[in-house]
Amino acid sequence: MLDDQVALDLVFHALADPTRRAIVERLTRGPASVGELAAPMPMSLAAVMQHIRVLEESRLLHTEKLGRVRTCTIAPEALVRAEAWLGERRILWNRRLDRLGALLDEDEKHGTENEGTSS
Amino acid sequence: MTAAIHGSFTVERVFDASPSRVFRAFADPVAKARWFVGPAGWSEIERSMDFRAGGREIAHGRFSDGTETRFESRYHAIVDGERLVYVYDMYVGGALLSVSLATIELTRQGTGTLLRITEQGVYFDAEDANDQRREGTLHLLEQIATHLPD
Repeated sequence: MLDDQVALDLVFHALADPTRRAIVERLTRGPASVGELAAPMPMSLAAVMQHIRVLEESRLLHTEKLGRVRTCTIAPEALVRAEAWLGERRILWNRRLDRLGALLDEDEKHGTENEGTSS
Repeated sequence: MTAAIHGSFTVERVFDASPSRVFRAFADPVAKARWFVGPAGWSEIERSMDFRAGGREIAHGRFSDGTETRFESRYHAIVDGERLVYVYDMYVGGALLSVSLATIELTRQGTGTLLRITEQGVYFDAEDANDQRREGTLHLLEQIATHLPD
């Protein structure tokens, strides 16, 4: 189910927004209705619902409608931690490749390129 | 018992250097030690590397809070200047966190090199999640949010 780069990109996108991070943080303390989530937010209920939809699409949370109340629950933490694990590995690689790129540029400047162009 | 969760990702980067130069940065232990670092706040305790099919690589270190991490890898396939395949175990605080298959591919692109890294892994998730772990997860999510690629 995580065999897809798209899934991780959705999580990155979802967590790029402070309002959505606040919603995730609130839900780690337990399920809440859309109204409860919206109450402390300085925005319309419709705007909060839009954020919830993004989080739901990224599978960070799921919602369930009982009667007139829609309740949000954080996705199983294992899933969240697995996404975080993948994100962490990717961040680490990007950090390494930044360093590698800088070193390759530096070596070239110092004229240490001493090999053929074939590969 | 822990849950086994599977995942994969790909990272690509173009370097203004020939494939053989980029490959050397992976093959030469001295060159690799200059860029193959751990996460921020991580310091090295032990490092070794035997660059050949069947050879091992170890990168052992710790975070400022004392938590030790250990990367134990074995090279499976090496094609000079083109490809590198290895499998690594990742230990955090003495527990096995993940086992991953990594493929590094180098392709000439103009005068430069396209480097593609693909990792496919299994992540072992402990079921006894407590508040401390939850805090850790939230911290990790914050870290990701502040390091977004775009």
